[in-house]
Amino acid sequence: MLFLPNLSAKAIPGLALLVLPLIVAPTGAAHASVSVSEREYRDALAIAQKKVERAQSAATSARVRHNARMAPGVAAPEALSSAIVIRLLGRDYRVGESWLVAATQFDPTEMRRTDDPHSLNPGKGRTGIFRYEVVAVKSSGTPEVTLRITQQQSQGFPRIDTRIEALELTFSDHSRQTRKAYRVRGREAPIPVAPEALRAQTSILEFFPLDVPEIETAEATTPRALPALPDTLARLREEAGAPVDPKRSLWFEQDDFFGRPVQVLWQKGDPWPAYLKTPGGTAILLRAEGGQS
Amino acid sequence: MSRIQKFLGLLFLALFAGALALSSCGKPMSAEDEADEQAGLNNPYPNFRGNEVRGEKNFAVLINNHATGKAEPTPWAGFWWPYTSNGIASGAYGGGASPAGKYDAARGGATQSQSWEMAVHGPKVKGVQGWWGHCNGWTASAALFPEPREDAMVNGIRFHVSDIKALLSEAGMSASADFFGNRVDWGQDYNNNKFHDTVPDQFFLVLTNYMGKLKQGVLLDRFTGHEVWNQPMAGYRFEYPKPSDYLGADPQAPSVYRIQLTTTIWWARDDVPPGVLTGPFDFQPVDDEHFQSRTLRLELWVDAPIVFGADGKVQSSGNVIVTRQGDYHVGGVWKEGDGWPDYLWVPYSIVKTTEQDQDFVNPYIDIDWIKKHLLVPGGADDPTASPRPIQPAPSSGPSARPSGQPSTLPSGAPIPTPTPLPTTTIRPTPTSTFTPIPMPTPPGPTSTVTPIPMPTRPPVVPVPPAPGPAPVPPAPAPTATFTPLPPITP
Repeated sequence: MLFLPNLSAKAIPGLALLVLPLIVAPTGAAHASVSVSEREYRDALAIAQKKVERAQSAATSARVRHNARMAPGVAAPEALSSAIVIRLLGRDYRVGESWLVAATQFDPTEMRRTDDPHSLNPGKGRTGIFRYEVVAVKSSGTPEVTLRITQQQSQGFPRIDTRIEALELTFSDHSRQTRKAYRVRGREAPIPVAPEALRAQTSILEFFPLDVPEIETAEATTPRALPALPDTLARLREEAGAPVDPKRSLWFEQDDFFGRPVQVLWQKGDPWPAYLKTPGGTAILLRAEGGQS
Repeated sequence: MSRIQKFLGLLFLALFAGALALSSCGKPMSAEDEADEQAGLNNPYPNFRGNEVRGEKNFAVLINNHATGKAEPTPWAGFWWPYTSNGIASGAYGGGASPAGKYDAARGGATQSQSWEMAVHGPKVKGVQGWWGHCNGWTASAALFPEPREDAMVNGIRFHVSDIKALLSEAGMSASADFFGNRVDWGQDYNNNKFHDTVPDQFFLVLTNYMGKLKQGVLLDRFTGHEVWNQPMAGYRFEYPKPSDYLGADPQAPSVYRIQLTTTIWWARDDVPPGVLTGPFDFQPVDDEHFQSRTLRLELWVDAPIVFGADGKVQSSGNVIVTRQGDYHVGGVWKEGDGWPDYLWVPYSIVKTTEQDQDFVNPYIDIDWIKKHLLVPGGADDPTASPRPIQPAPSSGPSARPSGQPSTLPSGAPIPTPTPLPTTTIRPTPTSTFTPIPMPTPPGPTSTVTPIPMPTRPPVVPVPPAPGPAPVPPAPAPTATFTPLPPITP
C-alpha cells in the first residue's frame, strides 16, 4: 500500500488523477544518462526498496502497539515493554539503574589536503568515561525513558567538557531519541538541542557516540565475530574484564539521518550496547552499576 | 571621500554588524551568554546557545522552503598556501616577511611557527605533491569567522589581511566537523564506492538542512577525483521541479519514487591574492573573481509518491532516502559528467592542536591568541611578549603549474613538478587599514575564470556490493580484548 505522508484525506481523491500517471510514468530512460551502470542502478534501487520496507514495517508495528495500549480495558503494560531495546534488556528500564560507558571521539581527517597516510591517521582521538543513569520511566500515554549522562574523571581520563554538568536524553518506544538537553554548570535551565541529525554548536560532546541508537528499523543479524576496537577502548575493555559473547548478541546495521553508518552490537541482558559506532566515534559498555534488581 | 568610498565604507560597516548579529544565531545575546563567551575564550565551543532545529527529510517541505540557501556570514575567498611554496612561511606576499615570521616576532620569539612550517608544511616534506596545502584550514576558518578586512597592529608588527587570513588558515587545519561521504584517494578509488558518494540524496539533505535551515557553512571537495580541493560554499539553488521531472517508481522498486533535479552551487575561490577582500555574494549568474559555480543534475529518491498540485507546486511527498549496504551508499544518482562533490563537511569549531595532530597542524599557531590580538579592530598588543625583529622568510621554490585548478586526470600518479603560486595574479598586499571592496565583475566570463574541472568518467564499475544478506561486522577477527564469557545469570 502506498503511504502518503503530509496529505490530507480530503485531497486524496482529487489528486489521484494527477498522481496516477506520474506513478506509472515511463521508467526505462531514467538511468540512461546517470553516472552508474544499469546494474548498479538496479542494485541501488533494490537496497533503497529494502530500507523503505523496513521503515514501513516498523511504522506498522508501532501503530499496532499504540492501538493495543490505547484499547479500552487493556491494562497499561510496562513502559517500552514491547520495544526492541526491552527485548534485548529482557525487562523494562528501572529508575536508578546505571552503567558506565567509555567513548572515543575522532575528528575527521579526510578533508586534509595531503595524502600522506601519517597526516590522515585519525590518531587516538578523545576518550571519556560516562555514567548513564535512568532518571525517569513513563509508562502511560507515549512510553518514554529518560537517561542522565554525566562525565566521570576516571581511569586517567579527564572530563571532556567541564562546563557541562549532564546530558539528558529521552527516547521513545521505538528506540528513537525524542529529546536531548545539556545541563550546564551555573545555569538553571537546561539547553535543548536537536535530538537527532543536526548537531548543536554547544559542546564537543555533540560529536561523541552517546546518543540512543535507533535500532528498530535497523538490519539485525547474529554476529559471527566481534568488531575491533580503537586501542584505548580495547585496553579499557580488557581492564573492565567484561568481554562480550557474540552468541548472545545481536548486530545492528543502521543509517543515521544522513545515511552514514551506525553499528550496534548489543549483548542480551545488558542495558546498553556493548559496542556502538557512529560517524563521530566508538563507545563501549564498561559495566552495569547499582540500581538494578 | 568619494561616493563610492562612502558606499563601500557603509557596506563594510553593515557587513561587520551583520556578521556580529549572525554570530548570535539570530538570538539576542544574554548576560549569561556574554559571560560564557568571556569564560569560554579558551574553549573551542564558547557558546552555550542550544539548537532545537530538527532535521527535516520530507522532500516537499524541503523543496518548498529551502530550495535556495546561503551561508551566513558569507564565507570569504582565500588562498591555499601550498606546501611547495613554503606554506604560511612564504614571504612572497609580505615583502619578504611571512605570516608565520610576523607571528613569531609579535610573540617575542616564544614560538617557532616559521621553522615548523618549513619543516612540516614545506617543499621538502617527504612525498610532497603540488596540490598539498592549506585549503582545509582556509575553508574551515572562512566558514567560522567573518572575513578579516583590516590590518592589525600587534606589538609594533603590522599584520596585513593576507597575514591574518594565512594564520586563520593554519589554525583551521585542526577543526571539529561533521563529515559526509568518503574521500577518493587514488586511482583505484575510481572503481569503488567512494567515487559515487556523496550520493545525491545526502547532498540534498546536507544542503537544505544545514545551509537552508540553519544558514550554516557547508564545505565541499569540488574535485570528485583523488586530489583534494576544499572550497567553502556560499550558496545553492535547486531549480523548482516540474511535474515532467517526476519519474515515479520503478516496477522493481515500487516504494522508491524518483524525481530529476538541477542545482547550482557557488563557492568562494582559492585562486585569489591572499589579501583579497571578498565582494558580496548574491548567487551571481556568472562566475566572478571571488565566487565560482557549478551546475549539477541528479535523480533524487523518496519513499512515497510526489504529488504536484494544479499550481505546479509539490503538495506532498515522502522522505528522502539515504541508506547503504556495507560501504555502498545509496540515495539517488548523479547525472553523468557533472563533477559531483567528492565529500561535504560542516565545520563546528577550531580545536586546539592535540597530540595526534602534532605532525599536521602547526602547534605554535594559537587560535585563542589570534582571536584576542588579531581579530579585534586594529589589533591588540600582547603585553606578555617582547617583540623581536621579523625573521626573513625562507626562500621559495620555483613555481610550476598555475594554481587553483586540480588536475583533470584521474590518475593516481603524483604530479611530477612542484607547485606553483599564482604569481601572475598577485597584487600587492594592502597596506592601508581599509581596502575598497572590489567592484563586481561585469557580466560575462573574465580572463581569471578558468574552466570548472570535471573528473573524467572512470571505467564503468563492474559490480558494486550486491544486495544480499547483511554483512557481518567489520574486522571480524576476534581480538584479545573480547573473550567469550559464560552466559550472565539475570
